[in-house]
Amino acid sequence: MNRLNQCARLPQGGLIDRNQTITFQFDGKCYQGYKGDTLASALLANGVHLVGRSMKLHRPRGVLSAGAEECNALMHIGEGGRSEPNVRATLQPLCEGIKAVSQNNWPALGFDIHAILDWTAGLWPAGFYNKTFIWPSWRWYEGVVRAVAGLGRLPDEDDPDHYTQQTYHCDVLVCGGGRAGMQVAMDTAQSGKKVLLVEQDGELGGSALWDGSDITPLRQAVKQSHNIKVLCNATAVAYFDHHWVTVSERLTPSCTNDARSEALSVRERLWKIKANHIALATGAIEQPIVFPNNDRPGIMLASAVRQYLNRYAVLVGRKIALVTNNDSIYDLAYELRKAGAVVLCIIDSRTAGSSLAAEKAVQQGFTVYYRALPRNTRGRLRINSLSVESLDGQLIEARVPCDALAMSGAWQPAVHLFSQARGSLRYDESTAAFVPDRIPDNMSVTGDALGFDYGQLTEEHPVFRYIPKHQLGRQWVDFQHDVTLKDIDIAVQEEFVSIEHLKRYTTAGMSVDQGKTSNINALTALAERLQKPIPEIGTTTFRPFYMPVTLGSLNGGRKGERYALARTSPLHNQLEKAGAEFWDYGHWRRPAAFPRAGESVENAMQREALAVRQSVGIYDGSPLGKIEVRGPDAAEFLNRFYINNILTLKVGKARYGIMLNEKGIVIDDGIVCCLEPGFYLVHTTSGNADTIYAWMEEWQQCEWPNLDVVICAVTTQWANCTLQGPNARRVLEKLGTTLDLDNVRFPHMSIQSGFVNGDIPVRVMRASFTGELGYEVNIPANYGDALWQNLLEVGAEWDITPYGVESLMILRTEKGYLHVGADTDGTTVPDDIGWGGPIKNKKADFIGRRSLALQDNTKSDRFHFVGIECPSLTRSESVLSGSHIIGIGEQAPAASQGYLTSAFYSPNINQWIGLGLVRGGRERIGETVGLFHNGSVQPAKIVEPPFFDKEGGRLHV
Amino acid sequence: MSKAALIWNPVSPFEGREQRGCNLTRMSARVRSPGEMMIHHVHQGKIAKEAEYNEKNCSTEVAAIVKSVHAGEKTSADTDFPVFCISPRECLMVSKSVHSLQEKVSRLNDVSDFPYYTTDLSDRYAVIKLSGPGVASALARGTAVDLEGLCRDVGSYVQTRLFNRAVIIHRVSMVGDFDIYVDRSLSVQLMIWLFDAP
Repeated sequence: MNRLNQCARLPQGGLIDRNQTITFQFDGKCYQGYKGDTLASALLANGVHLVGRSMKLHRPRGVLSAGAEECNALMHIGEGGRSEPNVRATLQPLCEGIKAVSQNNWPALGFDIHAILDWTAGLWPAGFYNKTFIWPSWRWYEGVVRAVAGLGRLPDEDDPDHYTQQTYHCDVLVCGGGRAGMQVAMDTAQSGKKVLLVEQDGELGGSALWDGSDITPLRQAVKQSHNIKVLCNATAVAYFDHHWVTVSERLTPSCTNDARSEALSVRERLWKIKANHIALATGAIEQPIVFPNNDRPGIMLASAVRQYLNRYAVLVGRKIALVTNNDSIYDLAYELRKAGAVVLCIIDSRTAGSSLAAEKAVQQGFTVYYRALPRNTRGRLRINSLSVESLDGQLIEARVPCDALAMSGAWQPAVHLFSQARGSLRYDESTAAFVPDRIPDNMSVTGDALGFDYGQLTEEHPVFRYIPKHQLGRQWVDFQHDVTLKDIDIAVQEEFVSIEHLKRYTTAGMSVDQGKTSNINALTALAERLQKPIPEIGTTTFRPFYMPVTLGSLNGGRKGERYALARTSPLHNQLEKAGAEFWDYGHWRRPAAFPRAGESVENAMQREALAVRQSVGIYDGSPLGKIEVRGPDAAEFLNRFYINNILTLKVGKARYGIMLNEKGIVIDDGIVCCLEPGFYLVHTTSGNADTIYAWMEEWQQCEWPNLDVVICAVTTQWANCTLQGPNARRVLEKLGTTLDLDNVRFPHMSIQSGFVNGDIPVRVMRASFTGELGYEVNIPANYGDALWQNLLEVGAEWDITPYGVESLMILRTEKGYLHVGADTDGTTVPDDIGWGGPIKNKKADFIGRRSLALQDNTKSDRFHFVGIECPSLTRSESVLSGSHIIGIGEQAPAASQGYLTSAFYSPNINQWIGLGLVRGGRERIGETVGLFHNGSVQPAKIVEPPFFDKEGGRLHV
Repeated sequence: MSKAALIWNPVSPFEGREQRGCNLTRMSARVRSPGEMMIHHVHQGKIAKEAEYNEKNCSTEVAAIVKSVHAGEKTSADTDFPVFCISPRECLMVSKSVHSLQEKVSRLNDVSDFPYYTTDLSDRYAVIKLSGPGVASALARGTAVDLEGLCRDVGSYVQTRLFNRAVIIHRVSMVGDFDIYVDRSLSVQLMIWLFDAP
């Protein structure tokens, strides 16, 4: 490796592996780094400071930090489906071949044409969007704004990587693997408790990795402890009720395709941790100082400069100035000098004599400017000089040439999880930070998360954050969103004086770092403008997530076959063999139709619907809801659910029933069969089976516990092959059962139990949803496969045809049969569907009956269930469900008089037919109306269903 | 054609899964032979009215079952005949032998003054048998339940959701053997989750 390529890399030191050179690309240029580098440290080692552009004004941006708080060095990593926008270069481990691209610039990072927005920044102050883009319409601006704004670009291809989720239970969860966290983990583990230690970095140690502390013995002890499980590269991102903590673990870095070519590699894992106790050792985050043009590349947090120096052996500048309001920066001054850098000056905003560290630095030959701050900085793409002034505005140094500036504006404890757990904060004047106050139960806070220890602090010389009013340049509060002190002034002028309102008006704290480097400065500025104490201003709400979590890990692998819950029938394999076109119906994956080679689904539906009427069809009815209700009070129990009379249902008979909710709305229908005295089989719609079962249980357990009844859901215990058509009986006879299939002894709407093949039980119900002779053959699910095959085999003589759900819909529409859910909506009461009369004959009470007497439910102009036919339309034209019904001759906009709930071209009638809910429909039979859909109006006629076999003779053959 | 030509073989819900891409080598856990998945016979029993239940009137065997039902933590001691409490009035009885189960059920129904209804649900439930040291970790990908805590002992079980599907997880050995009881309509997709998800 030619070290000259890494011009800022020190010849020795750091925790990197210099034996493993890694080549990578940034904006198309090749660079080299070492194993152990992050992308940010490798770029800095190569002297690259300009790494991005700000979101709004496209200001040049350099690396600010060395951790999760980074808001500038956000890059697009990788290619194709594995690419990812907005990756923090400070957290991205360097790996071979990685390709990084800067974001939000065109045509190049160094010359971004959109930087013109910065030159005209005065035109775009805070609130500009809200005031300007509402007139005449947001849509006028949307395209341009979206093209220019935004950050990053979504990949065009599917992400081939794997993401997973994992639950873990432990006695103690320690968040933070620094000194304090490791010590807590060790102390806890020694008492025999099960500990999970979560560390954001790839290594345990925290700040000890770069501040010179020796934590090797402690780290070894932690790694060797059997009671401690350590997760590195993992961040506790959210706290939820009952001590559930979400941890995002980065397993395989976003690198090249080759690096993660193994199909099994998991990129991220989302842990859901349940801990009895949570110990927070999350440390503290150094804050920037606000001064004119404090956002130039080369201006960094002092802790980051120190980390790059000691951990990665990168000297971010040769001539460095330091600016601080606390003691923590002075160690850096010595280390920089030792590394060969020139520390030009230390600008300390405190008074002389307030800091022993500062006085010692003076003694060591450093130039320290007390009660001073930078007046301004210069340098287009990287800082090249700064000027210094005293706090009272007197110029101290007109030009200090430098190539880097380290700043330290005190430390804010990382209290995000603590606050999410409803821990309360108090403002600590001495450290100028919000620190934990009331700690929630079963939680503890330790280390710098309690408040950073500055060492030389006294009450007389507190650390403070100075925010001057200055006219020389813009003073940046939120680097990514380009929020300045002036924006905060504007917000205050507009009376956005709540910190929450200020945040939303200016967008300060809404960048990807979620205010980790901007919130404190923003609220301090607000407090100063309002002349209120900071505690009175308070903080914004700390919401999950602490740092961005990929959608992939939140999704946890729910894609492809695992995307949605999909229930499969016992006949699924056979349906596949028969060429089923599977569609999703509720949670069930069911055949819509069985198209033959070269045949469309629509044509298959027509063919199947004809075949059923002409000979016999076979249908998978297994998903149909089946509930067994048993007990001496079973009839009474069911009678309270159905609007129909169940008490008079005889053994072996079946009865159609409609079920209402308490509001009188139709929620389900189905057939109730009496198998034995006190033993009923209830059929529900397929999609409602679980709901109705739960509904029955609720009423039985909560309202009618005195009824001696037992409910058992048996939907998937039984497979169901339904035979429909004039030859259905012949097929069933040929199958060979112990049942008596005689038309008189086994009439329509009856049920029999028997056997096939000697001892395989079957339940056969004679019923029909097609209007044809039909038998629903139920058999234990494991025999469903065999039943289907055997019925196809014996039915071949009559050209038995498998038909799907869509074909069934044609058949039932021809007969005008109601499909609850499709032909009803959340307002439909029994009278709307023609069941008003039968209800009056039922004396017993049932659920929903009282509501039927409500005035609104008895109005004459309610939507009625009627038939709609379109005789003038040809098959090639289309009529769509959902089309609105309007007056003939009317054009939109016109008042809707109802809508079409089902519509199909009927191969048996040879015309378009449909069912619909039409206002006052029963009184409008014969009326011609218009069907409005997508701007066109088609003529139609309101008719009384059914359309086919009006006498119903085919049911009873 | 004659009736004798028809073949009536029962088919497991997992039939053909291996051919449809289930790569068993990718899991530390494994499914035992497909045959074992389907020969569990399950009866769901339910006490009609809790108020009428009287343990003193029951036979010793039934009392043991009911006791385990009300304990709600472990199955009955008989490992060949585990009984799961799935609600305060409801239990699931499982046996590898259908005859044994029918015998037990018939004896149960013979007990007078004990309104106990049973329903054969052998075909409703699919049983996925998992074994191996990685099973608990694999299951933790899909359930929030602490298997180390709630399913620590052999015979213990828990009703929960596994990859968003209602299941009963039953520990059958201390070396990481678990039986997963799941509705057969969801079993195939659950297998995909268990074996295809990394």
